[in-house]
Amino acid sequence: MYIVESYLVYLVISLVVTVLVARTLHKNGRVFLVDAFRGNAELAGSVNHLLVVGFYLINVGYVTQALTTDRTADSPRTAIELVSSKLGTILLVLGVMHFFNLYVFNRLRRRGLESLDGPPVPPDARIAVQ
Amino acid sequence: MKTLYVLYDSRCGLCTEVRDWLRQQPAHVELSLLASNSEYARRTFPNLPSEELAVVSDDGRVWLGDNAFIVCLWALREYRHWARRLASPIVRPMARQAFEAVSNNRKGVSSLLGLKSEVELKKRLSEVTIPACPTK
Repeated sequence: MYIVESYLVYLVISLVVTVLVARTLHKNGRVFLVDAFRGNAELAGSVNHLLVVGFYLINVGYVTQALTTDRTADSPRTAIELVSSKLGTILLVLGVMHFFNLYVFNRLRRRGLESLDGPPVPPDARIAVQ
Repeated sequence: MKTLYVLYDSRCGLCTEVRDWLRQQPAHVELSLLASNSEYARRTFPNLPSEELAVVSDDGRVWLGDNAFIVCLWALREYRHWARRLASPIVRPMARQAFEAVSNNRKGVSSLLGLKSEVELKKRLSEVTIPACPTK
């Protein structure tokens, strides 16, 4: 009875949250990546964009894939419960994806900075080299 | 830093195998691989221990043993992050023990893996007698 309304509410909220998270990632990830690519803003922008596209594909894919249900929504109560449990799963998936993206950003940044440093162990001695 | 001189034990099969592997890897810094008992190495770096793996940078910094191994990894494009990992305080003691265990038993490890050193190969080749060309 309420199933179509439940699906619509679920789709709208899930997609809005996905877009909000992706925009946050896109805006704030850029700073990390510019640092990782030693100020190469063009490359950082490109990698950032590609990461966000991947993020959208996985999340929107999961949201649409997880739409169908066997549960019935014959009263407002069951409809709200259904939408809530579906949204909960989507938010958890988004959270995991978000932290995974942060991990990727940080890893890229660390790699970029590492290549600038000297050897990770101090020398045992010093000699004069001709 | 532009060049790293890597002084290895050419009498050990494992060391020459690792040297060949190092030679094939793309590196951030140029690696100059020298046998520690060679005339050139002894003349250029007279005060370095000949038994131990040593790395010398062109600005005079010297790393020995497991430190030298980590610096070799640091010089390689594909393995710089491994050098960081091995140098981290948690992994470091284990890495040191593993390096020392292999290094102290390198002759045994080499023969176990069937790796021949340059010196052994040279000796074996010198033992081969080449038959004289048959005269008409």
